[in-house]
Amino acid sequence: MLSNQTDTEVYFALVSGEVSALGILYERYGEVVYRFALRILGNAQEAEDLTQEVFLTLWRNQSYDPKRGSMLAFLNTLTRSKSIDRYRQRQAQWRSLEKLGKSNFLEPRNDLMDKLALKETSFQVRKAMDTLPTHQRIVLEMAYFDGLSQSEIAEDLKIPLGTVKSHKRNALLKLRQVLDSLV
Amino acid sequence: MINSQDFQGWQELLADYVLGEVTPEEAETVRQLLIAHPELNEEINHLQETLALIPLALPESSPPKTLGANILHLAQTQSNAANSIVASLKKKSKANLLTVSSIAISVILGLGFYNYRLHQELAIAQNELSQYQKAIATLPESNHRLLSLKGTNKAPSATGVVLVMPKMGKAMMTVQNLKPLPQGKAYHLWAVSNGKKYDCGQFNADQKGQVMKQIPLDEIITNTSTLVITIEPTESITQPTGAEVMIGNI
Repeated sequence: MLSNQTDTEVYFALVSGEVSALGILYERYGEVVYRFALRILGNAQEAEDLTQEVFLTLWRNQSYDPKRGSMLAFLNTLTRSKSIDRYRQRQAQWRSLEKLGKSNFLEPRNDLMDKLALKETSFQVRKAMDTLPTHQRIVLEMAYFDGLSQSEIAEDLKIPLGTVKSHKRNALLKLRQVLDSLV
Repeated sequence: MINSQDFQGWQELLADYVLGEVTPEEAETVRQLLIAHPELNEEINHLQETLALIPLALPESSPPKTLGANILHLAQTQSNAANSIVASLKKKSKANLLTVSSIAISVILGLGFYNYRLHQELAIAQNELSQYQKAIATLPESNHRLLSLKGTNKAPSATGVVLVMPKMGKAMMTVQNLKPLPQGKAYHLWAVSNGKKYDCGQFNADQKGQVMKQIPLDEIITNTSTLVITIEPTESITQPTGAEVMIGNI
């Protein structure tokens, strides 16, 4: 049964044109993609549209390569880049409207999910994030979820540029160590 | 062999690399390092996978229950439209015709998906569409036809497309940005032929203003070059009485 197969097997079924394979991948990762898009875009309707866009991109473009990483990593990378693009586009539209004075807006490890249910994995990632020193966690989240550059973070938090870089790096390395069993 | 001291130093560089925080010189160092020690690719992969786990720390969400079904429905519709056009072209598969049809398919798919909200892009796509539908009409073995629907001043942001596929025995209609009607009211689709309007069925838009409907195919809809959508009571009627909200032409 397709639903018992690994992500790679399900993906190959999708490539062969089985739309039910897309349904299985949505069942596995739809909530995470939506969750992530909601965090970046801050709007349920936009998160819904973006989730739809991510899965239809997977269906249409079939650009996932199992040799390069897990399905989860692929979908999250796609979600992040599309969400941040959309967010920036919206910001730019608002800025230009403001300027015109017309607006008041201011194969590796594909079996990850077979080992642990998503809830359990989420629980472990939250615990791992809790092990990070507060300043490292804040810098990582500003960079990853808000797409802010090092200099924007440095300015916001009033800390040197080099400190931003080392906080991000140390946060990732710490997570790498704590989540070793999952990656 | 990589000793642990070297590895620690390199791991910091690789972390910066995965985070996209390296200078061009550092990127070159990483490239050289990977040539000398291809096993470090595995570490890059681990770091990328770690980064991709971060969204799981966010609070769990509740996507709308219909979202998965909507995605599958759209994917299925896109496949059907693509398959039917490609199949009809197989008999005379001249390379240039296939190129035109693949562009046309992407425009159709584009209309089906991207343009729910992006009106400006829609305007451009529809302009392209009108060119490609002419190209489709000239294909010897393809009798698929596309009619693009535009909202009147009663529904100025509404847009849509009807794909008539005589060989498949069906027509598909997709519409965006159409207001859902209250109970007792329905949108009626009319095909115009020799100055007369023929009822092709009724429908309503969902809460997001979208419509995806299969239209029964008959001679009139197969040959019509004009479609009209009006608001009427849900009862069956022989002639439109309500306001025209969308008009479609080849």
